[in-house]
Amino acid sequence: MSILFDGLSLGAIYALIALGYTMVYGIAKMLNFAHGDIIMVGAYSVFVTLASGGHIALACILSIVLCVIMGVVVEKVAYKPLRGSSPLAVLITAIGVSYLLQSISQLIFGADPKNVTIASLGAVTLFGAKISVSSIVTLVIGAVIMAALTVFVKKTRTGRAMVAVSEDKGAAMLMGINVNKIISVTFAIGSALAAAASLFYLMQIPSVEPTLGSMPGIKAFTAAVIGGIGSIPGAMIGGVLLGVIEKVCLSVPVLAPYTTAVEFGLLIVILLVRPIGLLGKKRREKV
Amino acid sequence: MKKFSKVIALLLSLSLVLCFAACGGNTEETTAGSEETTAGSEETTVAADIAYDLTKEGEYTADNTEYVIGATGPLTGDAASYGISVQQGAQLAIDEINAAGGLNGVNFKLDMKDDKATAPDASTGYDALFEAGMQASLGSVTSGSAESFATRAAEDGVFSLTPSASADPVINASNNSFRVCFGDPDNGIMSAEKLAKEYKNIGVIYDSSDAYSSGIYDAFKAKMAELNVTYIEQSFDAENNRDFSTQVEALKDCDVIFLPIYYTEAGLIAKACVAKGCDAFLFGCDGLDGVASQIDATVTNKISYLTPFDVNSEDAKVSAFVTAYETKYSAKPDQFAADGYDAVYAIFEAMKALGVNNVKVDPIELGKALTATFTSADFSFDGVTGGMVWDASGACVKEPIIVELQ
Repeated sequence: MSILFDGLSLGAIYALIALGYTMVYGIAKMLNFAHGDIIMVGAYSVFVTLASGGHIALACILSIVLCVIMGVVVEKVAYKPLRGSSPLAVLITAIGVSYLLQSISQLIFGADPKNVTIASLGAVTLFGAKISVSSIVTLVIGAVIMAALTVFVKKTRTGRAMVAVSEDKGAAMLMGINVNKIISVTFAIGSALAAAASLFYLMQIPSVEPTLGSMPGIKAFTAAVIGGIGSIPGAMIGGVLLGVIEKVCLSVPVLAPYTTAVEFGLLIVILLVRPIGLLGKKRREKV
Repeated sequence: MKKFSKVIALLLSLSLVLCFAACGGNTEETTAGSEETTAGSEETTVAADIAYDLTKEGEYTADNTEYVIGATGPLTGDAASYGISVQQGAQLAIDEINAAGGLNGVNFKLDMKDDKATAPDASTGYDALFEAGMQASLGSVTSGSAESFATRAAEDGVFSLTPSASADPVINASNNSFRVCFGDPDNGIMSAEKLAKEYKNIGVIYDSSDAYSSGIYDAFKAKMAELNVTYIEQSFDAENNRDFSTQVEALKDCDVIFLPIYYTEAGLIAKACVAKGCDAFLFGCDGLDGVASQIDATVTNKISYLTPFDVNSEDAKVSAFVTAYETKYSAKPDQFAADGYDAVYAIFEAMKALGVNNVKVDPIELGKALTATFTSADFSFDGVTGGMVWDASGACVKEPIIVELQ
């Protein structure tokens, strides 16, 4: 029971990161590999705020603001000039940005992990298992953010413009939608989600280092693909599924050394059986 | 969709590359040390007879104006903190030696290349160093890289004294590779003996993807089987090394949890213990040195570890080193820094004992001479990580101390 809960809260973190991947892919048709490193930026900003005596609420706000600025700047500087060039060029640029962010933070903060102390919220006993409050908070807030995002995309003007850009960039432009603005908004939302993910990450794993974002980034990307990249509910399901599988595998001593293999094995199986992912939409390529 | 699956394929292969890069330091299994002793004792007699000519000039050392000590280590990437510590410790030793007049008026220079803790980069780094006039070396910092470095060094006959690579294949790679730190099996055996004697419910968390951790664990496992003591085993790997709630959950009723791992993960495990309400005693090996910086007041578990180096020691030599290090780098030295510092001084002392007085000395001749010196019965070195003598296998013999945090 406790393992299931640990898995769900880890899954909620993966799901939040996966949402960022999936939104950017769905709308800008590119894989923002620097997304994991935006989480790292968010985590360092929380660390700096807390270390200089700031309140946790201030740390949350600052980290979201910084991540949003970072996400939009990265998009404008690194990706916008490449719009229209081959997807491979954009992908390589994204990987470059990822390493750039890691190296910069290593220069500023050094390579050794820094301790982040977030006041513990304690633990409660549920169904006979001891469960930390922070993992419940992660789950609840994660679910709320995801629901809000779905409503935002479906109901608001900007949200529907995003769907339009995602379906046909050219036609959306003809309809008077400012595609550049919509893509910036997408990056801003994705980065804000990354900031939220960094907070939840720190609640569970109170330590920050320059490579903090890379492994959760890869896992969340896997989750996004498993769920069907481009699909918001798919990213949630993929993330939670991956988190639970990871925790269950780790709790079985025989399987534990192969946890990563199981996770990525699942990805391969899904890609073979259902290449569009669990909830991916089939789209015919127009020639 | 076609384009998309191409992208996925690329990403998958990329993530594989990343995984390999992450595991680069951990390829080799530890082998039993028993055969080494016999092979080594033959070597002693041979080594004593080896003739060397310290006046000879090396192929690439013609332009040397200082003695060049080469090394590779992770200066960037996941393991960078280890490489940087070794580099800083070694550089401090070099600065002190030079300030005191060098060796017969000739200064030393440290030339350290980044190997990102990967074996291929250590090999490339070795070549670059050799061609740049390296005369003796500190090998590399992490085990996988150090084995690769030592194998290349053995081909040329260059001496290597690794500060911190503790897996046995590193010194088994050649007759002229030595180490400053404990070997992994030593750590495992000492820990098993201590824990089996003092505790009942024993748990272990080890890193299955890391040579250091698995090396200690394998020796621990064998020793525990021999002592007929049971324990609960949990593991993690390089891709899942930040969230330990599952492992701690499984071990929360243990009296003691043995952690043959590095301090970063140990700090996170200590914090996971707080979250899970587990008050077990946490016991580890030298990899735990530095854990104090990773925990805070919320952690109430007692933590201690076996190590050759204690930063708070009152020993005059150690405190002088700690003060000098703090003055230079505004940080306390960890064990890697102490190992790097000792490695440079050990080479310096051996060269002094040999009476080296040729700045262009051939690395191959110097390698033979240093190997003979290190394995000779009357060479010992008293450093900040304890008094050391070396056996013919290249292993260092010294006494551990137990550091208690709380």
